[in-house]
Amino acid sequence: MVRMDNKRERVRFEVLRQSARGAAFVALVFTFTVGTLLTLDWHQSGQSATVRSEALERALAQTRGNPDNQEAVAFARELDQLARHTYFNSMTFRQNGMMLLVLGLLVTAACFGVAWRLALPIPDPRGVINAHPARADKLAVRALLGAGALLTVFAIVLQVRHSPATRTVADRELRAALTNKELAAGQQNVCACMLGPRLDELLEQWPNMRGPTMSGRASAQNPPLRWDGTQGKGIKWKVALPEAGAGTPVVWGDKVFLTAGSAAARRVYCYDTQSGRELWVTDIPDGAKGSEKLPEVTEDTGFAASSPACDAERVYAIFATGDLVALDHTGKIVWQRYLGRPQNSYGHASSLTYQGEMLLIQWDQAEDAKVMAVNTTCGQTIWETPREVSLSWSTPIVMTSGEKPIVLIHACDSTWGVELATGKKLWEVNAVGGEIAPSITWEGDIWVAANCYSRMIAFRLKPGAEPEQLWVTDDGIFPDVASPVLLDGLIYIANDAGEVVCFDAQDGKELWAKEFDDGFYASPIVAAGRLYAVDREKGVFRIFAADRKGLELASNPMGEGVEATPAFVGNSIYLRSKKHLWRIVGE
Amino acid sequence: MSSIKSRVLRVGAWVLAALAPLSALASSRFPQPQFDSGYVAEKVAYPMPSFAVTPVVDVLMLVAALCMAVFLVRQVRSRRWILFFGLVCLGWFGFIRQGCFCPIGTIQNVALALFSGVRLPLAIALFFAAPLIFALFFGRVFCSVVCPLGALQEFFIVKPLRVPKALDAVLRVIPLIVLTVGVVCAINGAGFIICRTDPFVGLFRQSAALPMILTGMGVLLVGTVVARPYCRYFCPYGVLMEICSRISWKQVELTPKECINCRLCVGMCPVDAIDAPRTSLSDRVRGRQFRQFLSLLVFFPLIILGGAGVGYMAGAGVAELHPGVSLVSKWQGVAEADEDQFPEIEAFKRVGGTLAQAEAQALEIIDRFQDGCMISGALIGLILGLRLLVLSKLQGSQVHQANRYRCIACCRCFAVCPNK
Repeated sequence: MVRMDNKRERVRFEVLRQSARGAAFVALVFTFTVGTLLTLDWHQSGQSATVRSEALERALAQTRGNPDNQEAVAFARELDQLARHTYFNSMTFRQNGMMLLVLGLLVTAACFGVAWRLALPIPDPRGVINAHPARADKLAVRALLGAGALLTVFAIVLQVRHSPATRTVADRELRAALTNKELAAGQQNVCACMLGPRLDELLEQWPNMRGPTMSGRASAQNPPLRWDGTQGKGIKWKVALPEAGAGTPVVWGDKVFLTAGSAAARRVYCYDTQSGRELWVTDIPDGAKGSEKLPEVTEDTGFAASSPACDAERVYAIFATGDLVALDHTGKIVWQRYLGRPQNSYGHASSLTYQGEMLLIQWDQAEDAKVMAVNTTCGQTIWETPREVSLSWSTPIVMTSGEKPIVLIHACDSTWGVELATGKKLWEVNAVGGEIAPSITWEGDIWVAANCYSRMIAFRLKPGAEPEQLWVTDDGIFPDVASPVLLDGLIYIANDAGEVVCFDAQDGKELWAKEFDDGFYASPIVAAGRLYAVDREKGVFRIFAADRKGLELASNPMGEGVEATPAFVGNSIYLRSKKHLWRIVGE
Repeated sequence: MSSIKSRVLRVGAWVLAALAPLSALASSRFPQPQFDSGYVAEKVAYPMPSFAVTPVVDVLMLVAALCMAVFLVRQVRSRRWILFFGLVCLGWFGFIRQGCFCPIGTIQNVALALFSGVRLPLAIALFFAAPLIFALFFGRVFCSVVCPLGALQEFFIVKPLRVPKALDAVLRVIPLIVLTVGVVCAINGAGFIICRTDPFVGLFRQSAALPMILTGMGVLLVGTVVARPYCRYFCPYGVLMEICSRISWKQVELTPKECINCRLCVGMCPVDAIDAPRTSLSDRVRGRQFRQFLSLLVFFPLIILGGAGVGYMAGAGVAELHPGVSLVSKWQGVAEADEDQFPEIEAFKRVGGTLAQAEAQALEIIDRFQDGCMISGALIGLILGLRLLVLSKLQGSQVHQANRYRCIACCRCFAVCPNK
């Protein structure tokens, strides 16, 4: 506002005000013209942000059809250059136009502002005072409440419009297939695992680490007894593995799957069981898409320590990067989930447990530890139970002998029994301490846990109650990595000190022990009344009678160390050594 | 002798260390591919950045600008100087630095770092925190003219009209929604919605799609009569600034001397941020207002719960902003024969994806959005409840004073104050 003291000054201000107003109108016309030109250019040259030209596309198609036609190639190049020139000229035009537009706007606003200020009289405060502030407040309260009601209506509309559109086939199928809710009427004992392959079908395959029952027992009737890996005797085929990995191979039908990986890439490999030929290999993209640093892992754990799982349709793998993936038998990724970077000092090593329509994942990390079941069809979480436990590297085991299938999850001083169908924690006992890598073994209603620097302990499941402790022993060296195996009342362990020991499952007393120079990382497997154990340094496969005497039946050299648990399918053993994948058929 | 030898070795080591970076110039590290056709690969040329400024400089410039704004608002108290400084800030933060990064957008980076564990660069964290820290001490000096978006709108205020209080109260809900939806979208992988709704970045960069430019111009046009429309009725960072400035150590002083209640400043303030003294209310009105306050206090928890419910219901709709959900919506409405017309559907199918898988993924995303929106709704409910209580409170002040959280320190009131 301006105080005008005399006529001359008033005239001067009036001239100034008129000039400012005139300038503002000129600037406005200029701005409008520039804006119109820009709009026309935008419509004429298209809204695409890339170089595009139909003529160029045609010319390029012609050169692809006839690459030897030099004339056509030269024409396409000329058109390409022209298109690029046009595009960049248009960009420059738009950029300059934008600058003029902004300037025009600024000048318009400034001139109008000056003109208005010069015309402004001294403000009359009476005009701006709200005579009824309380009334205005009351109105504002009502308006706010009205806005809240409008928002509620808007949210209901959104809910109605979007919810049914997305909750379609997948949701219904998922809920029907993966929970007991829709099966509950009169079928209390039906568990989700029954929706997968039948048990007899499973027993002919090797769907996850330590076999179909996850207990280290194989159904093979006549597995090989003697062979020599160093001379190729009794070896059907042997293929070199291009990458490192500690996971066991899994087998379904005529395919062997395994995982491998490093900081550079994680892969799933598939081999033909008959010839050992590599059928496919699929790179698994990093779910974090490079936005998060790769986790630090120790050299012997690596990025592919977890064993994969498989069924008739897919193979499933989890990596130390937190990527969970399902591929079909042709190597195509069916679904992939990123679980977040595991916070694990050695690297994630817990393997996948295949259970019909579910994959069980033990995610015992420094933060947000949990056990979860995901749908094998689409990867969606079926249930998830948070845990407050120390880091662990063991694999969940499902005991199917009781009234309901129970998942046994194992960590330091804390073993949980979890209902398979719902993920509900049923009980918790203190089994063994330390850094837990070996998994539990079970037979009937008895389960046994062991860990080095701790103890071995046996429990009996009690329906609807905590399991009953049968015995505990700390007499002996228990395994650091390899899981024990329990069969016909005998427990077998192979420890990293190089001992293979048998205990009586009734009282935990040692029955026999064999000492060797090299330790064991691969879990022992019992098949056809024999105990198979292979060491990690020289890869000597030792076979014992699985009885109370433990006579050593054979000693078969492989020529290189083995850390992965072997797979027993039919009458063959599939073995991953440090550098090779083998199919052993015996002499 | 040995000392000479060790000295020579030391000098040699230093020389080698100094020359070490030159190894990066080794051109034979990645050999050029060989072509049978005789094609000679072009030498790759990397254009230099047109104006290389490190994030440290950006942060220093922001802090310096904030200090200068405080000095101008509290010491110089000159509208002219503030306008001139606004021009400088608009030039630097707007047209030279092209509006990025700005504290408004950093909300999303901070949310992402807090909830998704993504690393937060220090410069971004400082950009987010510096204006808020200054607001805790001196009020919204950042909004004054340091923010390029605010400065640009400041120059377009021609004839500001007073927005009725009821309408103003309703419109001020929008920034709350933008803030919470922006955070939910950022942490759930739907992108940086707040940046995408910045109307002025296209003007700053002189390059954007026409709708964005037109939106920016539209906002400026509205701003000629409704002062600072983006700042008041859209800016999500303004919500945080409001919260901080409510408890600020100092506030903008209308007059350094005693206020004579001349009311001139009220008429001059373009954003209605001056609290005037009120005449004493009758007992009947006071009683009514007190009852309203009490009833709102009783319903306060219900407002929060209601907000959570509304947020949950809106979650499915908000999730449409996520490409994984919008893909399913599009796919479900497309005939199988026409699927190849949509690149996003085609891309999903090429990696072996099916509609059922896309639906399953979308369901998971919707669940996450519903949870996020439920929490957001509860927060909005909390803030709305508090605002309702403030509106129902018996207010009283003896003199005119700048409202702590609405005043954007534009200094217009200083010019008209007769008691300078």
